[in-house]
Amino acid sequence: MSLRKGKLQSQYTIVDHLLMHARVSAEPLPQDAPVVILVHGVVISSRYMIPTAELLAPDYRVYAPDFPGYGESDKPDYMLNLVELAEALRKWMDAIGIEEATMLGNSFGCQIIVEFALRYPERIQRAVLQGPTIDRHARNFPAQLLRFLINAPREDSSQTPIQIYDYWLAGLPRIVHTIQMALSDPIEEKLTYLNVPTLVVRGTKDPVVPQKWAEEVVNLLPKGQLAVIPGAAHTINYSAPLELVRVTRAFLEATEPHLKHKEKMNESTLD
Amino acid sequence: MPRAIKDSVIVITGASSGIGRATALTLAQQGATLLLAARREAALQEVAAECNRLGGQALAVSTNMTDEEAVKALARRAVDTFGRLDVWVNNAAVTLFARFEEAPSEVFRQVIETNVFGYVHGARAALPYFREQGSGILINVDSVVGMATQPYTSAYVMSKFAIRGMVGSLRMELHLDKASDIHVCMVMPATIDTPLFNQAANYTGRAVKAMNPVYPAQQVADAIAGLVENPQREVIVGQAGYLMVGQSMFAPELYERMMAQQVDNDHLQDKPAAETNGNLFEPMPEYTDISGGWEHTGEMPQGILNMAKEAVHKLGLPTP
Repeated sequence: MSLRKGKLQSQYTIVDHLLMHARVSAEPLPQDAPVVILVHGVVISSRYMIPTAELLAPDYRVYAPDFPGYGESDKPDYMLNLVELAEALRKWMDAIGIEEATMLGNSFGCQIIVEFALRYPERIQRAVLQGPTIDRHARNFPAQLLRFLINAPREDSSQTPIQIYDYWLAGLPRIVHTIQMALSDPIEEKLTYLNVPTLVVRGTKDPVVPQKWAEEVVNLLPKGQLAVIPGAAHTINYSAPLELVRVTRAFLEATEPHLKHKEKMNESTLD
Repeated sequence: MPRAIKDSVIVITGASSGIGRATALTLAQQGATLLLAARREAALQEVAAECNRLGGQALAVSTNMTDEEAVKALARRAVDTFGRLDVWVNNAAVTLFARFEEAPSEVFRQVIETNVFGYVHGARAALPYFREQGSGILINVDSVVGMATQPYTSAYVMSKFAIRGMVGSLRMELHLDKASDIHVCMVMPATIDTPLFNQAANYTGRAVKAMNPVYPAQQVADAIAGLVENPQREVIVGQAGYLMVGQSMFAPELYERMMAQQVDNDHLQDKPAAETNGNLFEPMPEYTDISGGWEHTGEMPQGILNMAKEAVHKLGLPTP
């Protein structure tokens, strides 16, 4: 008798001559159900978003895209940088007709969301940053590698094969490139521009995102709040999806009036 | 399934004093995440601060357990904040001393409202989340008088018997639903040194005291912590409790006569006392400690230890 899981289906869209894959909610939902886009993290794909997507699918129009070069999406010869990833997300939204959405990211996915909000602020309604990287106090490869190694045994062990498969799909050069990209992104300089209600979620056992860094992120955000999940590690979307969905749902419900207000404003400007 | 207290999300009702307060501190020491509920905001804040100092994480949520919507909001608060609700401890209770037919109806009813409906509200608030998770522990602090009756406290005794009924039915439904990792536990303390008696409603004309033997609240707190790690159906706290329950089962008539006399002699004093509704309708600002100031006469090992220490001292031997 656990929480009902919604059905997901694969959807392929051509964006800039590249096929982009996404897992989307296949549930019958009202048109005004909020859109939630799940943004995957470093070198992985939307595959590890499935547990979270399934729990959100009965109530939200969920989309979990694979970025070009990752998961089931086409792998272009060149490698997209952070700006291009944000642009790809925007073009993909254009192609499938999503005007604006709430975005939930894990790890490096949060960096994509922040970059996206900086460039296309009118396309993002709310953000959930789960385990936002990279702690500016340890922004170097050895420190991050160590933290991810400490984290690994704290996650649900079934995640490992998924991770290995996605790493294999992306290939070594893209892995190295993505990590370099994540490490060279000064996220703290951009957070002040994420001017939408934002929930930062951290697990108490997440060595990658220490409490101090999570609090720093919240303090830099104009409309930030923090949720701390006892006992969870870095990849809450996979290892503790129910917890993540519950705090996300509470956040979405609490920030709904803001949306309605905004929609009304849009209507009046249309008139 | 056994679970660690550390990182468990636990709601405790009646956490401003007595057993609730002792339990909060015990679980906080072991790294639990706590939501503390009671009517008294100031006392709760104090307990929460103490829990945070001890290494736990605690939120004070002022709640009246007779208000079903408020109790639902309390459970929701746990889930919205921490994503999970692992354990719910039903503990908030009040008591009334009066002859059965002399207790004013509304006072009698208020004991049932708080002790029975308070627990019903708690269980019904927690269970939907337990079912979503497929796991959870509902701990009900009952009393040995939930199995063995007492005079002059009929409303309280009835409320504690009622909880036993609720727990049995609920457990059977969970069994039928194959919810094997949702546990419903009962804690049955004997007389515990808490401010329960100091805040009792009283219509007997005689002052109330804790009936001997009295056990410290810490024993109940430890039993509750034990149930979090290893859920069991029922736990009796205080050896006198086993005696009471055993006697009432095997020699019910004798038990009734003996207990009637004992309560008359030892639960009520020969001092006069004014009629009071105690904390039944409005919480009292005082009595926010774990202890109600009653002597721990049930702690036999401690008594024997003291005797031994005295003997050692009198013999002139070096004391540790």
